[in-house]
Amino acid sequence: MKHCLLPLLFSCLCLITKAQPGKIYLNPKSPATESQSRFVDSVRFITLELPEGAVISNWDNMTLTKKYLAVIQYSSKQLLLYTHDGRFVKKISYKKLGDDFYPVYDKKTEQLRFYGSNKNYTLTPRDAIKIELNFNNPRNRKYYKKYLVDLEDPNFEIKKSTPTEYDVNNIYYLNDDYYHRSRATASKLYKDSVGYELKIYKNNKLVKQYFPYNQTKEPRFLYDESYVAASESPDPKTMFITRAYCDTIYKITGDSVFPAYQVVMPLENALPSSYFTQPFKNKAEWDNFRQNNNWMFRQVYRFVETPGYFFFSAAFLYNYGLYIYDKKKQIAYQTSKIKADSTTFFINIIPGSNIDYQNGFFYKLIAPEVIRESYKPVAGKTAPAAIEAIVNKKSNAAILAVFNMKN
Amino acid sequence: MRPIIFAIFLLLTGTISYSQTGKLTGLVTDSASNTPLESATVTIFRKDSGMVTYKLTDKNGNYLLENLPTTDSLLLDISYVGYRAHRQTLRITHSKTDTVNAALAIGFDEKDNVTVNAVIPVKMEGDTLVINPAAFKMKPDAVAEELLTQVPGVVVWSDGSITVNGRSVKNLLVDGKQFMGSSDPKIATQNLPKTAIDKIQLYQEYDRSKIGQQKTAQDSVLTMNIKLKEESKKGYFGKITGGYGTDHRYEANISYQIYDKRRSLGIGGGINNINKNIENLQELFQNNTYRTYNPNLDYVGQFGSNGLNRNHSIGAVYTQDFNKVLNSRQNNRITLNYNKSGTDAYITNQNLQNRTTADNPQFIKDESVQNDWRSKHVFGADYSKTSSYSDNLHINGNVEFNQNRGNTKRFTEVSDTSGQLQSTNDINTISRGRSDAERLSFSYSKSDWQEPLKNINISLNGGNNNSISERDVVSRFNSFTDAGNDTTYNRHYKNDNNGINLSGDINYNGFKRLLLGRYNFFGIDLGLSQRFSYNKQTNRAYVSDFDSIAGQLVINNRLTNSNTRELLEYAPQLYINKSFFKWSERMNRSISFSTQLIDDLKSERNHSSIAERNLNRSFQFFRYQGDIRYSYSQSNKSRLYGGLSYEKNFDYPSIDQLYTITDDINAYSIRYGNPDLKNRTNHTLSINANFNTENQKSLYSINGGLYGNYRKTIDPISDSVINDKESGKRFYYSINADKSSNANLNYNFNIARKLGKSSLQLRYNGYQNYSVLPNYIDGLYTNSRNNSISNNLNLQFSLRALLVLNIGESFQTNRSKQTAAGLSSFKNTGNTTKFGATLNLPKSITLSSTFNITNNTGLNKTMHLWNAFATYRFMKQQAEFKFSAMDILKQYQNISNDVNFDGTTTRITNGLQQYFLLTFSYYPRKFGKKELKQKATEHVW
Repeated sequence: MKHCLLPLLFSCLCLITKAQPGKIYLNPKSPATESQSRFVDSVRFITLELPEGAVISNWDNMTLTKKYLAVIQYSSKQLLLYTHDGRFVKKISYKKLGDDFYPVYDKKTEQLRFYGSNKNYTLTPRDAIKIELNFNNPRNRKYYKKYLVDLEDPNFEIKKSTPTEYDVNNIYYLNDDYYHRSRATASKLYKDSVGYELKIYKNNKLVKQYFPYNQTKEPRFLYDESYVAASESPDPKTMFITRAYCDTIYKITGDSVFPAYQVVMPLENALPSSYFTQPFKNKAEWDNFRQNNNWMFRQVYRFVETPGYFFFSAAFLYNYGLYIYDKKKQIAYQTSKIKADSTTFFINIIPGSNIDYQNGFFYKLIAPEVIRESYKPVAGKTAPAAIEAIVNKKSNAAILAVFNMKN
Repeated sequence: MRPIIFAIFLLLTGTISYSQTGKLTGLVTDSASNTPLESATVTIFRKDSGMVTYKLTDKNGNYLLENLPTTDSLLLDISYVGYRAHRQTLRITHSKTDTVNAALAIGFDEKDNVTVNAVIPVKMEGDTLVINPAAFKMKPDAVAEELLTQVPGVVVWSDGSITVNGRSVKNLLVDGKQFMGSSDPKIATQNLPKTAIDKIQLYQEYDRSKIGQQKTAQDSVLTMNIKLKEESKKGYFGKITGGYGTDHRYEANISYQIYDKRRSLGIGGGINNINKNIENLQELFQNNTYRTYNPNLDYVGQFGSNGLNRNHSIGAVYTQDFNKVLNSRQNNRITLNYNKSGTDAYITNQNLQNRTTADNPQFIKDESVQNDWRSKHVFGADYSKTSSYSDNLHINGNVEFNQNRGNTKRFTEVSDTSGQLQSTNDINTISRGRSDAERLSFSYSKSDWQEPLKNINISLNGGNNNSISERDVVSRFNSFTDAGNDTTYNRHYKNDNNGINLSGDINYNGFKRLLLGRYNFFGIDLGLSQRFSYNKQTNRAYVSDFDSIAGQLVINNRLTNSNTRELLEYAPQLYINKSFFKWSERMNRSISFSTQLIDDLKSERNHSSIAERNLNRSFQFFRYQGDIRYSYSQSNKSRLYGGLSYEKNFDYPSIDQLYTITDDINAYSIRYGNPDLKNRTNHTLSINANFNTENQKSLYSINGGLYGNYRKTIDPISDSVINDKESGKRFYYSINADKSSNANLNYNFNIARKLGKSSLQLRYNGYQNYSVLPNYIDGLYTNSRNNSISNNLNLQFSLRALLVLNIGESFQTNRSKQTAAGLSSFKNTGNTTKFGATLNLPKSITLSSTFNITNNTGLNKTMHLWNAFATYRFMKQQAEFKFSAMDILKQYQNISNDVNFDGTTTRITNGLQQYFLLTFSYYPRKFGKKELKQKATEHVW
């Protein structure tokens, strides 16, 4: 009998061990500092051709698609489309669509989607929920507009499309044939009190739902909407997902969700239990709490895993941080504390927001003003001609730094 | 004047350039990785622990400190959170750049056996600029204002106002609340000691007074929040002063404030006979603060005031906060105040006037002696409740009781150009009266984009007033050209007035949502406003003349009257607004256009004992107004606001202008009405612009403003003045002229330059007013063109906290020109040069002085006013002796000049003369239970 029990016990222990998510120890205000070359394995600078009259600044954003790189300029409401090797393809202005519109990449359809409310109408959050609950009514279809740019079509024209229930319900493509609804909010307008933070759809049918909450009076979401964020994982069949007020990073494969990592933070960054049980009296009280507890944890958003590091962003109640976590040393570094060194001519390629990840490589958009501010010559080393030209103000092009992390 | 300014400028520049300085540069790195450390704090201290300067390292770990003294040995401190500090003594080489590099190691400071908390003087926390007082080593009694003068980008202007990176601090809070019920910064910044302050936060906040109104870029106001240390959230401070001087001059003041987390009480009052205005309690608190380095040299006996006045006041203000939260969004506060004030005035006047007339110019000499006694009690209550940025409830009520009595003896004589007397009027008046007024106002605003149907502003006001007054007037008019014109009156007046008014405004900003639902209407905002008011005023005048034969008062049936006027007004109003915005990472720009269409409906009923005044009238005026507002802001560079507005409105003549009850007791001002007066139409064009720099790196702070308006009136009510050639009597008849106009322009420009811990400030302001008013003088049509210009310039140099020098110049010009031939035009110019100096000597002795030189074309000689003060603080800086020497040269005369369409008038009034005053002041001060000392974490070497 003893011989039978031991292997059984061992198997159970193994299962428990396997079920335990890996720990990520995060000090949000970590003073740890390192030089950039400590993380970066190899870096390649690609010059982005600049169309006439355009300037790429540090405030512009960047999205990588399968074939292209889109530089989104929110202030001038246009996007500059480049191939991955920096060749300029087209400037697409979306100014005419209205203030509410900006492009979002849909990898399933290879389209840029502009979806927003019709500028002829003003919608309150209550209106949005009412419309969402009754979108089948044709009268409600006029409140939103949708435009698409087909990235497979060389004309890249903005074409009008019809908003669907997927658009109005924030249902986004996840993986394979799966879609997910990511929004969690609380309102008395919902007839059913049980809602789910994550709903998985396949072939237009709800197949699974996770993380139930009271969608009429959940204290967390009474004054604040939240979204489940999805990021690609090293396994193409699996995605990472994170949710608000939860320190666990989940993996989702097909429609199955399981915990992958847990972010462990000092006690001062943890929300009190009353935050989840006692609703605030009003929005002002909730806002006070946020401002007075600005470093309390809210959500991990983007989460990238490389063999040696995690690269992720974390939102706190009134702060935001971008981190690199050294798996071996178990140390989190604020990316702002990572210092550029001579390998990149002292140009910072890690900190900041314009960074994307695809197929094992990070792509960082660097505006010319940033290069001019940080560049320093290195003795015995010649900087790429494009960088020299920017530094000497002979060129105003932006640079795309493509790099991978050390293992 | 110019050579003096130039000489002072040279002196200042010489002082600045003489001091020898050097530079220090270096690189701060992490010792392990050799990577540069950004935002490490590099601080230089003197041997006496005083901070010389500090800098944060740039993103490459580099720093550069300039203007370092080369004469002393200095201490360098380089610190970074979580690292061991680098400290060394050094001496800076003159006209050379020294280099100190530091490689800091992670860990604990073994010497202190604690982690070194680098005290960063100034840092950004999100969108809030945080000033850490502990990083500034100053004298123990330094107040918050003195600390602010040391912070880069902050300018404390000579009037106590504060700008940060060029933007004016509009709101000052202590622990998120108004301090002592006031938003004026001076009470907090000039009283709270630096040692009681945990940190000072500066951030943008929505101006809650604009809730419910159309949002503009100007609604974002810069707020300064002083966070007190936990142990200092309870305390008291104040000033108790008593002084006596030559010529029996005396003054005594009390200003005492006590506060804790939720309550505050301020008690203030005083008594003086030096013409010092102490009626307003808040002004009393603001002018009796603790600061020493730049005392308010203008809060002294006022030599320019009319007469000799004995002022007294006593009052208190109590504030109770009902909530505990330390933010400015949630308020639940009541403020109660009571103030009793009064004046006993003795005024002698001599007015000399040249009158504008076509063919019989007259010279008028008017002399009067006046004794006045006034007493006022004011009780007020104010309740304010806000629960977020989107709502505001405010209830305010106050009750006022006034009493007065006085007697005036006035003698006027009119003579012709040859000096021949035409007539005299001798008037003796004894008066007494009392009045009371009660006012209550309620306002509620809600503005929430998530619930647009609930966006409403309601404002209701009610008031009641009563007054009873009696006057005995004996008037003897003697004509030296026609004795038949002589009159003598001994008249008794009794007036009994009551008034009630009710008004309300309801602005419904949810109108668009109600009317159009979710439809956006091309982004055009619509608002509906309703205004109503009811006003009832009853005036009863009982006039009787003394019959010397019968020896009794006989009712004067012509002047005795009673009138009741009821006015009902209703004005619906439609508001239309459209705004355009453009922004980028470097700038944002907005322009908005708005129009208001107003239907003004008025109904007036007059019930009078005088038959023709029983007039009932109704009016309907369709009015409109519009404005354009523009704002342009360049990130970290500058900000510009501008506006242009136009308004058309109407006025109708009052019953007193139509059917004036003519009383000829003052023979030189006899007025007649005109039942044919027409309504007036006003067209008003206004312009305003504000500019300020916002460059955090610049040593200069610049701001300026321009405000102007032009009003054109069609059918204005004017006068036809008849000067009786024989008697000098003057008769005024109300008439309609064809049109009149008035233009005025106010402007100001301020620039400040930091010179290390010293500063230079130049302030300029001025105004121009030009008006054209048609009228008739002795039947002659003339346009009276009046132009007045005033320009004031003030330069202040502060050498650290040691010396404050002021020099100022003000110019005034008044012109009055008549277009009709034969009528005289007048011009009067004047200028005043002002000097001021404050020298803070060691041992807590302060010497200060002001010197004013006044010239005026109406004065025979230049007038000088020299005042000097010496103060000495002792008993741990809580007691003070002050010696004031006022009008040392004994040359001051209270003379003023005025020019208007009547002519030019020179007024000579009695007032203060030279006196010397010795005052003793005690400053009770305690902030928390323990005496506040500099903490060990401050860099004391």
